[in-house]
Amino acid sequence: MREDVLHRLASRLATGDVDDVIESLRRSPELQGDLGWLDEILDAADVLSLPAVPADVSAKLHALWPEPGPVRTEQAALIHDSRSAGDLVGVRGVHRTAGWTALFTAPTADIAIDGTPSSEEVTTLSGQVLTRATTDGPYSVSITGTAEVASTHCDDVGQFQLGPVPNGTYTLTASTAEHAIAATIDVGS
Amino acid sequence: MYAPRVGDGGETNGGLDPSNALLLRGCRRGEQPAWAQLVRRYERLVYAIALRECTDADLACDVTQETFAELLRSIDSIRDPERLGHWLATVCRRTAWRRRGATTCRPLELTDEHIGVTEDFTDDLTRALEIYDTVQSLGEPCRSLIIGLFFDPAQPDYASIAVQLGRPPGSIGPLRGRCLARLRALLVEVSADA
Repeated sequence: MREDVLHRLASRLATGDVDDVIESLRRSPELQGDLGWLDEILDAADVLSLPAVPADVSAKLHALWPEPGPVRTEQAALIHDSRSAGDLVGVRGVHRTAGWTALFTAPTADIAIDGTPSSEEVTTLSGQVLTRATTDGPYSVSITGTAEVASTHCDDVGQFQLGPVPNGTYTLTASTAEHAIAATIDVGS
Repeated sequence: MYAPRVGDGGETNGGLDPSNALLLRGCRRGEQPAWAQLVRRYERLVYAIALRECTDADLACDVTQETFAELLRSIDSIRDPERLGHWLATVCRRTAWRRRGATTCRPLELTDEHIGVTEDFTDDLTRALEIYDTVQSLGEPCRSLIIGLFFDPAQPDYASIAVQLGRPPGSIGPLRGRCLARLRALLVEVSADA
């Protein structure tokens, strides 16, 4: 059975002398021992012949993806920053050990950001998108300067972890397929 | 190439290639590159099944498009992402039967009972689809290499495969060895889980 399988494989691979190919296959480390698994692959190959798809058909399959509609964008306003105002009564950061907390508000959602300095020049960001409508989401969150620095998805309760970001001024965007909330954020102590 | 986002669970094959589950999740989030990669993974399988089921090449192209359109409509309800090939083959055959029925031309070996059956596969095709889905989970470049070596009716030689993969021709033999070893391990794992 082993020789039969090697012969089947050699017939498939060989462009010239099948015997030369069989000899090479006999020495191959991955083809030692029982070759039942290879026999099954060769059987599958006999059943499934997969010709190339015509280019125009392939293009139509890709084009099935719906065109994105216009995205409604809201600008969020900064209403609290612990670095300048200290903690407001009743305002708690998402994570108690954060270095600073900022809170942005927009018509459809609030965004709470916690910044934890990792070094003098880098801050680790995390936060939560707090939507007013239960039908909104799930949100993706990205932070962008001249180019996108980091992005992630929120969990079931809108929490996210963006990871370490070099200090500077960025646009933080929380978005779904239909709308986006943008906030200008100063990352740093 | 679809790149899963940070914090997305890391379901990749060797760190670079997203799993079917991850691609479906990306599609649900509205990420077009995830859809593009699903199409690239399965378009040849669906087209091949459609050609088998349809005597007319144009009809096979229509059936292929309708199958992927059905996948897009059903994105939220796919329950077993790692058997996506089997799901697509089922939908493709059902669509082909329906379309062939509309043209009043039915193959003699199928009865009216078969047209209503959702998973009327021969054992050989069922096993072939399982192996094909396992090949999909290999990741690149092994996926393209195995499909080129075993499933492409054009039977490309090593030089052609090397060009397709962007590698030196002399590297294909050793790559074949590594890819077959990985596929063997995955098939053993799949058999153990079954």
